[in-house]
This record gives sequence, C-alpha cells and structure tokens, in this order.
Amino acid sequence: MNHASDSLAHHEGNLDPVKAGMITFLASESAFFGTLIMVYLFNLGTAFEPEREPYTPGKMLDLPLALPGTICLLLSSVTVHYAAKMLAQKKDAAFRLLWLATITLGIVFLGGTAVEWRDMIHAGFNISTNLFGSSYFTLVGFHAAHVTVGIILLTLVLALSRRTRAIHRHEVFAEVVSWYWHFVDGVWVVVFSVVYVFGR
Amino acid sequence: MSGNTLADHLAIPYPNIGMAIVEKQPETSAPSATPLTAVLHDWLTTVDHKKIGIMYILMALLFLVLAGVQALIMRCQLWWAGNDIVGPDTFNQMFTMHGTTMVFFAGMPILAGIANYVVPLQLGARDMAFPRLNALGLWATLLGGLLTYFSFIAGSPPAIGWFAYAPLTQRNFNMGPGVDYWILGLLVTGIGSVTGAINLVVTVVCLRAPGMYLRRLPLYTWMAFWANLQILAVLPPLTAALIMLLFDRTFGTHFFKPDSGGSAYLWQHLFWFFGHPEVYVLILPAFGMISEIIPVFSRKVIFGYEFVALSTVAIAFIAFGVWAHHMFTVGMPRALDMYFSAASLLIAIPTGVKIFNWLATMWGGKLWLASPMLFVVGFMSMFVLGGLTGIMLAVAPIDFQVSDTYFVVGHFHWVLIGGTLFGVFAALHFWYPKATGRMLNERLARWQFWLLLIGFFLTFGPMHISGMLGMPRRIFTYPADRGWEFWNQLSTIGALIQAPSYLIFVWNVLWSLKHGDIAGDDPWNAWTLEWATTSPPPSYNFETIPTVQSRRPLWDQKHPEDPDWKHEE
Amino acid sequence: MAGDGRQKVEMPAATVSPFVLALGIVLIFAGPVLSWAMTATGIVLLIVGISGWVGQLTSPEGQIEEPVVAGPKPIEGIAGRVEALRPGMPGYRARLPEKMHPYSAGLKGGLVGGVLMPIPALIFGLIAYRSIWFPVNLLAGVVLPQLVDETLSATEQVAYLSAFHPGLFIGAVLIHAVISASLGLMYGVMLPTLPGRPIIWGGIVLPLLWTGFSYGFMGVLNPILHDHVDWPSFVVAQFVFGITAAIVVARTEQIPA
Ligand SMILES: [Cu+2]
Repeated sequence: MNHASDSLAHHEGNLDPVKAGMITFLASESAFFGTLIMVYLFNLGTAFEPEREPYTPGKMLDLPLALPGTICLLLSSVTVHYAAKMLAQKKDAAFRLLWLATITLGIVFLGGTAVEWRDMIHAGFNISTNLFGSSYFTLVGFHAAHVTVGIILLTLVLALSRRTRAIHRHEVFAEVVSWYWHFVDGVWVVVFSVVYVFGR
Repeated sequence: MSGNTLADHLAIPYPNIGMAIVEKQPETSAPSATPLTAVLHDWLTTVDHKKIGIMYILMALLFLVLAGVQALIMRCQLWWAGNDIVGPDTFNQMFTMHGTTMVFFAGMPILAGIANYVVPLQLGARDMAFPRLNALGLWATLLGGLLTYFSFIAGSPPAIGWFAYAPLTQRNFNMGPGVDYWILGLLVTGIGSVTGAINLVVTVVCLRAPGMYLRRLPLYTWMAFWANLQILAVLPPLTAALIMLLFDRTFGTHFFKPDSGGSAYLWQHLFWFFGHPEVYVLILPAFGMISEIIPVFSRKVIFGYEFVALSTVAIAFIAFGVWAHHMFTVGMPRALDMYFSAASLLIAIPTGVKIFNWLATMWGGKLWLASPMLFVVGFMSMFVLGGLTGIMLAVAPIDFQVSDTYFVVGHFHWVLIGGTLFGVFAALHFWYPKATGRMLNERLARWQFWLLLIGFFLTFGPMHISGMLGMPRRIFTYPADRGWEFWNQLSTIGALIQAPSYLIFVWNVLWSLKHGDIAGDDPWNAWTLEWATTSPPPSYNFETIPTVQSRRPLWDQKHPEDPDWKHEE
Repeated sequence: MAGDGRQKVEMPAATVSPFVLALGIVLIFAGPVLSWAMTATGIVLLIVGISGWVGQLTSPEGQIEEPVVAGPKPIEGIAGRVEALRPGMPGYRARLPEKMHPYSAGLKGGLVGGVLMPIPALIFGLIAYRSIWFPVNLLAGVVLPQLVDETLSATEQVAYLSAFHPGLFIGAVLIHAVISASLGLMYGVMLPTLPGRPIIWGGIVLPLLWTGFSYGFMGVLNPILHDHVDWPSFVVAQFVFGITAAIVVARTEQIPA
C-alpha cells in the first residue's frame, strides 16, 4: 500500500499489490452481497405473503422514484472511468472535474434513497415491520453504506492527490478506488433488478 | 548480531534499531535491561511479519489454554451419571465458548500466525504485501476475542453452541447480552481474518522471488494460499449472517424468527455454508505443513508434487458444495440428501490422494524421527481415523442414527486434533529453531507427544462408543442406567492425560528460548528458502532477494552436481 | 556487513496506527452492548488511526532504513553424497514394468472377451427359458431397476423378460461393451505390473474377485438380475471373459514404457 511494496521484492507477479489487494477485497465483498441477495431471494420465494401483508414489495416499492438515482449511479460509473483515464494521460483538470462529477452523482443517488426511505417510514414501513422490511432495508442499506464509503474514498483521493503524487502512487490509488466504485455500481444493478424489477 | 537468539533480539531497545552499528554482545551475557514499556511499545507498533506471526501464535496459545480449561470442566462434570456440580446453564456456556474459542481464537489465529511467519520467508520476500494491514489483522483478531470473553465479566457468556442455531439465539430465549458479545466479537475477529487473508493471498500472488513460478511454490505456501482463498469466500457470508442475527436482536428484524415469517432453516444453511469450508480452512494449512516436513525427514523429494498440489484445489472447490451434510436430520428433500451425501463422500478421494502421496514419500526414505516427524506420524495415523468416521457420517442413513450424539463429537475432534493440532505441533517444532535460533528440547517434545497421543486417543475414542450407545451431545448430565458412565470416565481420564502435554509444550517453548541448543541457519538440512537466512532472520529477511530455479532452491545449492531443475522441466 | 556492499535495507517503519484503528473498530462494535459512547469514542479512534496510517503511506517517515547485519553462512555444496535409487540397489522397492502393452491391446482383449463371454449366458437362456433375450434383458437391469412391473405374477415377469425388446437390447449391448472395454483397458495396464503369469491373474484371480463382489452386491446394483440369475453360467461367463482377455493382452507385443 505504499512505495515500500517496491522494495519488498515482487518479481514473479506482474500485478501491483495494491491492485491485487483491491481485487481480492472485492471478491470477498461479492461473497458478502451474494449472501444478502440470496437471503432476499429466499425470503421473496417463501415468506413475503403478498395477500395478507399490508406492506409488500408491490405496494411499497416505487419504480419511478428509484429510477433517477439508479441512472445517476450508472452515469457515475462512466464519469469515474474517464476520470481515471484522464489521470493516466496526466490531464489533471479534466480528472478533477470528472472525479467531482462522480462524487456529486453518488451524493444524488444517496439523496434519492433518503427521500424514498423517508416516504416509507412515514407510511409506517421500516426495518422491523415485517420480513420484507427486514430484508429490504438490510440489503439496500448495506449497499447505501458502501456508496457512502465510496464517496469518502473518492474525496480522500482528491484531497490527498497533492501528497500522494509526490510518491508516484496517486494513479494506482485513484484506479483502485474507481474499481471499488464500479463494483458498488455493479452490485446496485443486481440489487435493483432483484428488488425493484424482478421482485415486485 | 549473528548467533543472537530471539530472546536477545527482543531486548534491543526500540530506538537502537535505527542505529547503523549494533554492538555484538557475547553469547552468554545477559542482555542489558530494557524497560518493559519499550519492549511493549516495540511489539505494539511492529509491522514485521515475523513478530506479528509470533504474537498470533501467543494469542492462540493463550486461548487454547482457556478453551482447554473449559473442556476439562465439562469432562469433570460428566464423570458421574447424575452429577450436577456444574449446572446446565454453565455447561451450555462452557461448550459454546469452548467451540467458539477453539475455532476462531485458537485454531485460525495459530494458522494465521504460522502462515504470517513462514510464507514470506518461503517466498523469498522481505515482508507481507501490506505490513500495516497485517498488524491490523492481528489486533482485530485479538480484540475480537477479548470482546467475546468480556461476556464473562458482563455476567452471561453465550449459551447457544458454536453454531448458534436459531431461534435459540433470539432475545426471548437468550435474554442476557452474551449472544450479542458473541456476535460482535466474531464480527471484529472476522475483520481480522479477512484482512489477513487478503494480505496473504496478495503476498503469494505478487511477492514471489524471481523464478518462483506458481508451479514451484513450496507446498505449505500453496495450501495456506488456498485456505486463505476459502476464508475470503466464506467469512463474508458468515459476517452477513451475524449481522442479520444482530439486527434481529437489536433492531427487531425477522430474519431468523419463525413465528413472524423468518426461517431457522435459513440460519443453518448460512452458518454451515461457512462452517463446512471452515474445516478446510483449519486442515489445509496442516496438510501443507505435513507436506513440507515429510520430505525433509524422509530425505526424499515429495512424491507426486502435482497431485498433492492439485488435490488441494479439488478439496477447496468440493468443500463449497457439501455444507448441508450437517443438516441431514433437518428434513431436507431426498434429492438434496443424496446430493450432499455423494458430494461429501467425493472429498475422500483428493484427501486419500494426499495420504498416499505422503506415504509414498516416506516409503523407502531414510526416516529421521525427530520431534517434528513424530508429530507427523501421529497426524497420519490419527487423521485417517477421523477421515474414516467422516465417511461414515457422510452417509445420510448413518447420520440419521448418530447425528447429535457423541459419535459426531468424537469424529470432529479426531479430525481437528488428530489433524490440525498434530500438524500445528509438527510445524511449531519444525520452525521454532528458525524463529528463535534455538532448538526445542527433544526429551520434553517426546513426553509431550506421547501424552498427547495417548490422552487424545483415550478422550475421543470412547466418545464414538458412547455416541453409538445413544448419548446425545450437549447434555450436562445423564441417567445412570444407560451404560454411558464407563465410557465417559475413560474420556475424562484421557483429557486429564492430555492436559499436562500442553503445559509441557509451553514449558518447553519458554525453557528452550534461553537454554535450547543453538540451532544455526539450517538445523534440519532442509530445502526451502526460509532456511537460507539466519535464525532468527533479520527484520528484512534477505539482504539480497534469492533467485529460484526449482521447487527446492536449497537442494540446488547443496547439490550443484545434481540440481532439481534438471529433473523438473 | 556482508553481501553486495549494501549497508541498509528500506523497510516500512513501525507505527501504532493499525492498533489504534483496531481499537476503534472494537469500540464501535462494543457500542450495542456497552454504551453508544463507546461507539463515539471508537469513531474518533478510527479517524485517528486512518489519518496516522495515511500519514505513514504518504510521507517519508513511513520508511526506515534497516541496517544490514551479518548474513547467513553461505550454503556449501555437498558433492557426491546423493545417488538416485536404481533397480537392484538395496532399499529399492518399486516394481515398475519396463515395458508395457499399448492401450489398444487392452481394448482388443476386452472386446474379444466381451464377444465370447455371452455364449454361456445365451446357452443358459436357451435351455432354461427357450429364449436368448432373457439374459440380454437381465443385463439391461443395471440401469433400469424398475425394468419389470413388480405387480405382475412370476410367470408374467418371465414371459416379459423372454421377449425381444429393442430398447433393452441396445442398452444391454452398450453396457456390455463399456464394461468389457474398461475391464480390458485395466487388464492392459495392470497385468504387466503383477508378478508371475498374467493368465493366472487375469484368467482366475481377477474374475474370482469381481464375481465375489457381484455376488455380494448384485441385490443392490441389479435386483432383477439378482432374482433371476443362474449363478453357474454367470460364473462360467466371467471366467470366459477373464481368460480370453488375458490371453489376448498377453500375446500382444510390449512396447517400452
Ligand atoms: Cu462438514
């Protein structure tokens, strides 16, 4: 995670340890989200009881409300991709602009989730209401927490770019953070399809 | 500093490390007194993989003793039929903490510690890929263990078994905070395990010495690598399940509450999806240690390197698809019973491949029964027995009969003690000279080995019989008319024979630190890179990074007329 | 100061940040059971830990120069102390064939044996039930345990089994060919490794072994065959196969292994 890694003798592996570390970390994160999604599907199949419950996926989930945030998040994947590309080409201003755009889009997504949740909670639907509430808020909540961490990481990269550039590791940090962001977006695509499209 | 032992090494005051010249002290003189705070500060702040590895091992030994005491309490309680000195609540807490401790705070840390110490050395690297993350992994593991044990101080340790079956874990059945401590402690330890696993995997992928292609990796490193890949795959699902359980208890969610739509069955699936591969997380590194020690003490190259290596991969993959053999008695569909039974039996094949390759390595070799090899022979004979009872349990109809009896308890202790623990002791005796510069005392090692072997046999052998006679697990006492008393007393005697063997080991470790024979760089005349540096190695391990041409780089140097690389390509 | 004249090795410096971070994490997690103030303290420690960590990564203080100390003793070559085991040396226990049959020999042996083997079974069928299809249908029972409707009477079952059924015929031929070919292949590989005469092993010992196995497990593997089989002709058929296959394999030219 630092330029000491250079002196710790990597020879046979061509992969940068920081990149390999992020790949392994994301693999373990997929196992985590995979479990939450499997649990959601398991509960969807057995126990959401649409006829008897007043709070069911069909009644609580609002596709038009969730769609704008989703589009923002997908868009942010594009901006972060080009930001990393600009950085590799040493176009600093373009990098900063696109990086900031990514952060903004992420915040807009979180804002969308917040509005959605506020409406639900006002309607008397929360994490302890029923099994659907437990499954929904846990899954979407953990995703939102990952988006939040992503925003913090993106901000850190921007804030530290002056210091880290001094040791030539800035590009690598920015790149792995962009991978993390892509991963979080990818997870949302799955969560969105499972929860809002397939599961309604 | 050459020739200095670890004991001297530790005592160097922290600020001196930065000095260019370190005075060489005479071998016999006592090291100048270092303030204890400086030593503690040194260990608290270190990012050296060797010191971190040693701390992992010390932590594991501490928890091993704690869990051993809990086991002794249970064994003494079961001496007489109808005994009620230890009440049912305490008994439940004892077996819960014993299992949890052995798996999470003794087993995994001791393997993480040995891997931390040995893998970078075997790779020819100067440290792990992320030295600071390595320290974080250690402290998270340790603090997670302490948080779990804080439940003793808070008044109510968990009483749910290490598998924490729902809905027993819900508030209405376990009102005290014990279960919460258990969940939170495991979550913190889980962070340590996952960061440690990421670190080790990346180290193996990125920090290999020049020429050390994956096909030339030492087998221990290879198997530790696969065990850590498994940690990466199955610890996050456990984390997810624990979080859901925490939410059930704290925020009133309904995941594992059958009365409000949740599912107790789901918890079992989630837990065992972690729980079964966990067995391989605990045993694969031991397989690796065995694969490293047998060739050295048989003075032969490992038989069928490729088969030993690839059977590891096969085990790692099959292990993901067998978890529900812990759930035959839940009442799954017949097709699932058949699938999980067949898949579990399948694991016997790659495991058997390993056993036969080890035997073939020893066959015709010049056996040297020094203490590491002694434990290896103990491993081979005991682990095979544990594996065979495992095959019996994989057959669903047999499992229907003996599930949740002492037969199962006997079986998995046979695997985890006969396998993992004997392997770990073999490894500790093998690498102790490297880590400290001194040899362990051979006489004490032999006492330890025979007490452990006999005590172990006597503790867990009779459990198979009491299990067949129908004695259920997790009962704090039993009626006199069942014929179980004799077998329980045998088990308890066995446990009392085992107990001193651990104390002998601890004594041996401490005594040899000061008084053991000087080991030298390569006491076993071995072939992997850790023996190419000093004992103990300097903080940077290798001044010049070695270059590797075969699976046994030191053999090549010792036998320039007939190096391995001539035969391997 | 040995080696290539290097005086120092750059290594990561000791730092307390990972410990502080871990302490922060555990306090955060202790919140739900102890007090949320713990979590607040934990978050502060978490931030302190991460800042310290980032500081180590982004400033030269994160590295120290470790002085090089005396290195290990050079590893010396031990010339002439190793000799590979060869046949004839004491301690050499491997018994590997220097020559072996080509795989085609085993395949050929298996198929020839497979052609001759049914003769005793077919004769049995003709004599006992006046139908050569009876044993063929029985063999198909390996893969079709519910071959015969069990509600039928014994005579009706026999009548069913004595008739020609094209599907069962193809199934039986396939099973027979696959088993014969695989056994033949095993003969080709195994016979040269066994001491003594191959005909004894292949013609007597091995058929005896698998016939015993079949006798024990027939009820599980093929219940239909178990109910109707004529053991004498069954055993004769096994020996016909074993002897034929062994002769064919043993007569083929061996090639260097
Ligand atoms: Cu299992």
